[in-house]
Amino acid sequence: MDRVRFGGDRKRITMAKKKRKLGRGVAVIGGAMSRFGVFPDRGSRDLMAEAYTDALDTVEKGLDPKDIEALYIGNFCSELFEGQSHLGHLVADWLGLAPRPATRVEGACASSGLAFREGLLAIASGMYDVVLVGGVEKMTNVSTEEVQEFLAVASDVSMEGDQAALTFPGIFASLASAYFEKYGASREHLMRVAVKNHENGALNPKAHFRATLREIMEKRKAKARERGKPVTDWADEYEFLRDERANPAVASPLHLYDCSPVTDGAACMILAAEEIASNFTDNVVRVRASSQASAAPPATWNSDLTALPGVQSAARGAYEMAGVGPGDIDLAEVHDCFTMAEIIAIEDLGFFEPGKGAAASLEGQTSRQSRRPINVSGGLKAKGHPVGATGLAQLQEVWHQLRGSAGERQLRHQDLRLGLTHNVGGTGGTCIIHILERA
Amino acid sequence: MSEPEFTIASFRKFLTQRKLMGSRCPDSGKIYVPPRPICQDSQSRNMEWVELSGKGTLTAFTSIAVPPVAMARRGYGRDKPYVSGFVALKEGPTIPARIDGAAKSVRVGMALEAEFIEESAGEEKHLTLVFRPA
Repeated sequence: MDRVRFGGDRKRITMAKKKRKLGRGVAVIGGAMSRFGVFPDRGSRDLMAEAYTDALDTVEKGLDPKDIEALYIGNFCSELFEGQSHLGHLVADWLGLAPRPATRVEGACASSGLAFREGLLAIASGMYDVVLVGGVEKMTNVSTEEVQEFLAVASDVSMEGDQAALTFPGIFASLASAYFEKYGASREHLMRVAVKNHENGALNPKAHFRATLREIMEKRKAKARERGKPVTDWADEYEFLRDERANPAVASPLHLYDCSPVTDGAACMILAAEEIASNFTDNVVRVRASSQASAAPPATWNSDLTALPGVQSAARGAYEMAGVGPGDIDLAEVHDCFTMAEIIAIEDLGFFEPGKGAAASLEGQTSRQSRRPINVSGGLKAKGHPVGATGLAQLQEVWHQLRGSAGERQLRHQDLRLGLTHNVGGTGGTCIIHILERA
Repeated sequence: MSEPEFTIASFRKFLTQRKLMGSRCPDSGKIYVPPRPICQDSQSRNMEWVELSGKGTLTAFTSIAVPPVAMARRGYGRDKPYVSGFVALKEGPTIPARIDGAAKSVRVGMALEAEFIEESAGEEKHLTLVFRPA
């Protein structure tokens, strides 16, 4: 549906033809994520405080916190995980930033991608010059069953949940079955995604899993030996992943190591009007595109279930706004909540033809060494997935890579200019894509 | 009796009468399950009720080993996984649903038909719409 009719003057506009642009340029001047992992004694505010202070330290020429004019905080459901709603003002207060306006933004796992966009639009509108955008989720103080129940409220509860008893892994597993059937892919393709993202995560000091799957396998062998239990001598990590006892099914064909973990964490970035960005940094990274789309639940997609139409729509918008194509992107952080989701993402973003993403992953075309690496941070899979923090964790990774401050995992084999983030809420209900550019 | 509203509550009420009902847009011809009041394609609000045959094909599925609490209460789990997925109904719309009686033979493209089963979870009794091999 491209055309919208306004009742009053009967004027028709064609949405597809409207070239979207910001009212003025916006740059990123700081960004960081907290350590991701399991922190029983730290709540949302504590996690945000760590991400915020680390982000302030990344502003090269320094930033007086008094110059921050507003906050946008992404969070999915602290009311369920922590029994605490109304997070915006609490974060503002905890960071010493009250009475500045703080707005909580929710879009399931895309919450902080949306928070970034709200901050961006607020500056582009001329309302503010410097804005703090954050994202946080505190997930690990409740039982595994509760985590699954709480995450499920982001699905279409009445139909997918009550009617079909589908969990989130179950919905993505269903997409995998359709993809396998249509394109002849298998679990081996999914395993390659997990192995690659864990290899990347092993280089990320703040990741939840700072370990390759081979290291996780060896650790398990050592533990069995220590306890005098029989040791399974898996030949390599793939054999480990094929072992039902080591890697049990969650919702077939997805197994434990196809799923992102349950993680506590926060991420945060500082945005400024581009015209004043040089007051804070000589290393300007600007926002080249921001594109968001909504989509119906999978049952009502008019296509088959091997692609996310909301992502395809957001991607078209992002490339149009940036005036670039998928071939121009130098690196991307994509929303690999499940291994299958990464394969679908790299197709929906136009990096690979439909049906070719699985083989491309298997062949290493998404690795750190490839022309356009995918998820050098470790992705949601290894970095962790504190749902409300994920969008900004992706954006700050791309920002660090573009300005050359990603430490041991810094990509050095090519000149990085354009980086893309792909952040998805639910099963593609909320899709948000950003393109950052090193000026 | 006035016509029921095009809501999920009405859809569920029909299910308790073992009827699979949707709404149809006379302008675009498109059928929606569950029924909705506004057509995606034409934006028309001129919907009418339609009963579905319950016949369809499986477009995607999974076997769930880690169930939600409501299914665990009905005895499902790692030792007793259940199949669920997406069924493209003969009339057009797709519905997410549990697939019963096809644990071994389940495959994308298989023909299915709707059936209502009675289940109990403790004291509670549920009438559940599932799909079975046709």
